[in-house]
Amino acid sequence: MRESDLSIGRARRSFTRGPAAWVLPALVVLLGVAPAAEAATRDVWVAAVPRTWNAVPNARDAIHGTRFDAAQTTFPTVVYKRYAKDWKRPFRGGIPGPLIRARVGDQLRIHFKNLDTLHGQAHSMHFHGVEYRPSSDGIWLPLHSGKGGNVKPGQHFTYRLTAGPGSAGVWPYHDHSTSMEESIAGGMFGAVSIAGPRERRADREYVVAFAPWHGFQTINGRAFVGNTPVFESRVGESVQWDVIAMGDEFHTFHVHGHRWRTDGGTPEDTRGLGPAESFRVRWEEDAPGTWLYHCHVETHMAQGMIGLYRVRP
Amino acid sequence: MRRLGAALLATAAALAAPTVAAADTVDIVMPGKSFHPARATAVAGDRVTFRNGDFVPHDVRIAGGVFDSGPIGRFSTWTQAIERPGEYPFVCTLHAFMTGNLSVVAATLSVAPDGAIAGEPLTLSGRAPAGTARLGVERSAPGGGWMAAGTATPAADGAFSTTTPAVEGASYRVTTPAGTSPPVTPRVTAGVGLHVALRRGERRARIHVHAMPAPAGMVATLELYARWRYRWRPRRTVALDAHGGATFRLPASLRTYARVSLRRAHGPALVQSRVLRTSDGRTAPDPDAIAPPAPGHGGH
Repeated sequence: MRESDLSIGRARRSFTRGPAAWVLPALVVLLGVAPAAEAATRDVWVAAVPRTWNAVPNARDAIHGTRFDAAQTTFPTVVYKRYAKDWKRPFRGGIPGPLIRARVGDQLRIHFKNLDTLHGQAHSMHFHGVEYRPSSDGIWLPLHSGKGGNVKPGQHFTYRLTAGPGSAGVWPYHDHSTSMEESIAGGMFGAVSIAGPRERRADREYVVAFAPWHGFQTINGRAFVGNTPVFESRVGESVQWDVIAMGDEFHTFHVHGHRWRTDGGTPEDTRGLGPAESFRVRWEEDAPGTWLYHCHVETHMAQGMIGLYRVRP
Repeated sequence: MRRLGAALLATAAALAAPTVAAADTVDIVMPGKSFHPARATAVAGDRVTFRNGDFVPHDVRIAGGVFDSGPIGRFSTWTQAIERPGEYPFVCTLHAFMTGNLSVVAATLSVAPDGAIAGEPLTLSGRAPAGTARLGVERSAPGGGWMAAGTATPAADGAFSTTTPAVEGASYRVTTPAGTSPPVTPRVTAGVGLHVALRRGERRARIHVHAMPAPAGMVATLELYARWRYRWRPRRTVALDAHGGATFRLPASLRTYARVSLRRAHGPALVQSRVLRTSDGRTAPDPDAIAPPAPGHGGH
């Protein structure tokens, strides 16, 4: 699959022409590795927009049998919403914000617009893992930060980032403006997934964002099985889980019926992370069935931090 | 063709019915030697305007001296407000064969022509005198007389719409300071039996639906249970045929639970079928109502 199929925003890159067009794929077959893709400049359009969000759309915790009224689980909030090139068409915004994909060596231009008509607050985007000048740090710091640290309603800013040599992996991004605390609690965060220069993309890539939301412990802004994402794959596919955490608490990511290996080669099936920490795990799928994934801090699990993973034969 | 016929009948019925004032002025025209409409309804306090569209003068008089327009010249109008509810037969004294009737009511009241199922919210709408602050809704009592069935708050122009539970055989009316509206008796069906049956083929399964008695103006919605989402999801909606029947087709390989509900278009479910398993058509408990076992059987 071409990298541009996986990325959001417009991927501008020059693909190899001439003999290399068949020599490189041949090398891939012979050596079993992906060629190092040429660096690209990726443009992504993202706005902060108001949205009414229901953390429990099916109105229940199916495991414990608890019922909820929509008034207990639905609140107005501000979220990151992706747009097509030059703001031509909105995509569905929500929690978390759009997954931003890149490859080591890429330049990223994140065009951000503040359309917060709910609170009328300033917002920003601050990215972990990538390289940038202070002007693209997206933080509010009196006397130091620029316009991008506190983008006022109706204004826009372009963050210029570089996926540097050490950036392969998964990283969070979030609001770091004057409204940071309230905005992150409302769901203004997302993930950046950066592939290594020669790395093949997984067949399936899932984002798991642990965060509290209005008294619930949520995965991607939803609580309890059936509301949290139902990730799906087939036996034989490679799957990648991008895990991030926001808020004030630590979490432990656990998937039933599966194991992965640490960088040191040790098998594990549970990994912890604290606020704004992140990691990715991969495996080749070989276990058909319906499985649970959840935070193993058990009060978090009871408050909604649990979901389903469905593997078809 | 049947639908077209029904539409034509409905149109004819509407034309034959007395005109119900939709605003605070009722127009009655004299295009020649007749009144049109000859039978009109107004709400107490409405103005009635007689328009002479003829080439000769006319007048309008109600017996008992309620009003007498005097001569209305050709292409002229005459307007009169009427405050008290009642029946007002009128005549043109210059052409005694020109007669008509004006019904002045305390409020107009109407219900949807499709009728309702007992217990379903029944929408009553109409118009009361402009400025009426509050209306009482009444329902005929089984032993005779009337009983309170709710209240309604009209808009500034007197228009109102309210809902009250439909009761089989009951009539409804609204009360205003000026009196009571004429009663309406909606067609209310006591209950609808909804039968569903699954027939399996090699590639397709069919769910046959039969509603008894066949309710008019209702649609059937097939809902399938999303097992990984723990919720019922509507999948397809079709109109019931004249005999109350409908059929849904599913892939034979589908393994979940199904049920069918009857509703008005875009309305809530009024009648729900049993839950059946799509694998064999047998009745199953509602998966949405499965309660967790007693504590001590869980764990991860």
